Amino acid sequence: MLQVEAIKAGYGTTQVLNGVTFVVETGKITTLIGANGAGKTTTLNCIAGVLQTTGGRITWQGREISSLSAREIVRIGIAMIPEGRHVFPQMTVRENLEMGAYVRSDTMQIKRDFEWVLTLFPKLKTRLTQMAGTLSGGEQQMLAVGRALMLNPELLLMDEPSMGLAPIVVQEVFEVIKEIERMGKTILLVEQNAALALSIAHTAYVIELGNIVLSGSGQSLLTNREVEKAYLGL
Amino acid sequence: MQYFLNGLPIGAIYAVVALSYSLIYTSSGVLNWSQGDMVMLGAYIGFTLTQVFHWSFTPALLASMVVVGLVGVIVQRLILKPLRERKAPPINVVIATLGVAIITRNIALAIWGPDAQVFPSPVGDKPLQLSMISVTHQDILVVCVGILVMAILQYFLKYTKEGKALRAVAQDRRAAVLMGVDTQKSDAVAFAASAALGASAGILVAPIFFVTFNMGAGIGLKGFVAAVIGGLGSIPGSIAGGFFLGTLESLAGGQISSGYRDAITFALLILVLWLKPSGLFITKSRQKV
Repeated sequence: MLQVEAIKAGYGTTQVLNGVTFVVETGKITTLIGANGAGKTTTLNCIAGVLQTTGGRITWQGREISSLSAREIVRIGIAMIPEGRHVFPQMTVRENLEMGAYVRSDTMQIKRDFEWVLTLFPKLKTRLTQMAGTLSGGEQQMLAVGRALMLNPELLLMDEPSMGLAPIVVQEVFEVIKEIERMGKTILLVEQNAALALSIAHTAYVIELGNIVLSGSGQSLLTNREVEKAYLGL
Repeated sequence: MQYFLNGLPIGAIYAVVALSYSLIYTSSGVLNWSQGDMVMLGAYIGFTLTQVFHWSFTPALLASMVVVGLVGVIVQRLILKPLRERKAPPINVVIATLGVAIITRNIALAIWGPDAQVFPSPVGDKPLQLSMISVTHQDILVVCVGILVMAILQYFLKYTKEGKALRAVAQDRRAAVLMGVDTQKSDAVAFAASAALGASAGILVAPIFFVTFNMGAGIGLKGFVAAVIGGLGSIPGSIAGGFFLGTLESLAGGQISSGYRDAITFALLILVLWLKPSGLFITKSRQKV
């Protein structure tokens, strides 16, 4: 279980998070929805160790991880798929996947995970020697997910996986996210596409101006009047 | 034809130096002005090992690359790392590397003195006459070792874990951190590899010119020009730029006048910067959004 307790963080003198508290249950999809600039990505960056918190604490499976660096976070099995995919454009699909397992040394298991990622994304299998920069947006998103899975992570942080993708491709990506959940991984999903995120999430939180303002099950928030008005555009 | 051949050895050396600029530039975003002085250090250490301690050529080359590689790591740890941690602007880092160049030059002056040293060719400089053209053994050695060094670098970048990490950092530093790559370590690897490349160029160029404490300024600048012509930050571009500049200088020196050689080189630099600043041999591939 990931527990985020009253974390504060910001950039320079601008405070973005004013005490964000929520819980991500093991083996479930939890989503964090909110408008642009509400602090969704900042929250993920704090968990991933990319940004240091200035207050509060983050614990993962009972261990405090607030002060760990990004490198140490990867080593305890937390992978992040950054917004905008960030695949390595001049490296092949295969090399990108290999980079996902950079901190691991269990060669046999890495090989097995490699095969498993390719069965999850059959399209990537036919493009192993192609440069990642030449893939379509959807394929790059699949590669970014596959690369993160190469860590064999316990917790997967996903930042806006639907961004910039055609609706049909978004559907595909969300099918994969559900598939990953079925395999027992814990997922924290940050999305602007609130309707879609809520439809697959076990638990959901709404963040506004650096504060959690609403929480509940994904289904209950889908029918919540305020959420409908503010985020679903109905 | 003869001019073209004459240009190959110096072209190979320019290519190696150009690569050393590109490697650091692409992986850590730093324009390292002490690269030329790594060439000088490599030449002096090679000179000392072969002439004073009577080592043979190959161990002297390897030892010199290792020692200068370590100097590269020291430069990264002492100069780049603290500046990075303080989030210094890039221009400060560039100026700091200029400082490294001056310090290195003066240390060399203190150790080896102001006199130019003669570094005799390890294979002799008797020319090999092949009907119309002639090449020296030294020329062949330079081209072969130069190509070998570049091939080893390619292998390192393509097939080793640290080499791949270096490319990953070069292409997307933030994503590389998310993979768990230690960017300080990859910076150190880049500085070490670049310095070692410079050292190999130094030993290769030493028998062609004299070894002096300020030889780094000239060869460093030429290597930089070659990198910019070919495309700073691009590995194939830098290699092409090096050979292109080498043959061009040889042609210009032979057909026009050796006095104009440098003028032509820098005129070309200005032209490239003006008309195609990304480099002559680079076709920029656009990343999909």
